[in-house]
Amino acid sequence: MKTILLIILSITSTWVVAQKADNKKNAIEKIIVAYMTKNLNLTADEADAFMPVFKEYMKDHRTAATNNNNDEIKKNEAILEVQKKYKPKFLTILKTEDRTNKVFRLHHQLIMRLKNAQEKRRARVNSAV
Amino acid sequence: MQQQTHIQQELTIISNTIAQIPFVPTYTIPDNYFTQLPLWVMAKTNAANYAVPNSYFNDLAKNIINKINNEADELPEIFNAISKENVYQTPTNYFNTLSTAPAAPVFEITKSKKLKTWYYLAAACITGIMAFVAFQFLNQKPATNNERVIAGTNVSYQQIQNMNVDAAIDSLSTQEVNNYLCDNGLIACTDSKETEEKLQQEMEQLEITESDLNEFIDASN
Repeated sequence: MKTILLIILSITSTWVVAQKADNKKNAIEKIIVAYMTKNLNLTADEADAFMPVFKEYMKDHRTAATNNNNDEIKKNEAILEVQKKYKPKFLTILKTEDRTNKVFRLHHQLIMRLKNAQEKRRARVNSAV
Repeated sequence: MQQQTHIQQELTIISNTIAQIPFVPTYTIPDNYFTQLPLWVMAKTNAANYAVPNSYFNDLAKNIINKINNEADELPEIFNAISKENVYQTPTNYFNTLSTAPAAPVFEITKSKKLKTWYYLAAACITGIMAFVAFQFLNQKPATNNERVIAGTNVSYQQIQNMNVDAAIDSLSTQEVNNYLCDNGLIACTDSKETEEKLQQEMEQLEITESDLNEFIDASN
């Protein structure tokens, strides 16, 4: 009986810990989804069609960046190829060139924003030292 | 009984001599043999007149003991040590009162108090979990267009509309941002991890919290 209770308790605690870790991991993902949806003025149906494709784009963007991390030119070229590949897909969903181009701009802006926040934190600590 | 034609033909092929032996049934029984058989058996049994003397079974044990006692002299000495008493005895009127004999005692299985507590605890835990899961499933309302989760994500359109993106970015820890940038190849991981560890150590030394940093970032914007 004690063993059964211990098993139940361990399963519950593992589930709670896993949920917390998952929430942390998804925090930035949620921000990206919200940032893109709001700035592109997507409707619920448009967001439904757009987000799976955008996630695929981010995955390919990550592969292109991580595989060419030692060469900045190659990295930019690889990212550019990914953007070229996904532009027609985004255009089909978003209908206009303007909105499609905005996807890449917004993604870049968000990355820069995260980088800037990080840089400012470092600068703040360094100045305090 | 009839001879099958094809069997006869096959037999002719195998052995013509055997095939020429006429087919005559050897074993026959009289008419109505099996119908009359039980009556014949009973008639023969009654004719033999199998019967036992009066009080045969009552005196059987006594007779056996007497016979043993009479033949004791002829037996080896070792058998003299054995008691001559009839050991197979039942109390008086034992079989007459057998139907009213007391029933076998019923053994009640009792559980210890400690074990019962564990059973109750386990039952309470399982019931609680089942109630929680049932509540989670039954309490779900049908999602409206804005409440349903956006495909490929785990967030609803409604949640996105209510989210303050700037505040959400500011609430991210240095570690979370660093991990994301690093995992996505947006910063060099080795350098950034070392720098990050150093940054965290320095923050701890200077007693600077994440909220202090966020306030500073907001002010500098």
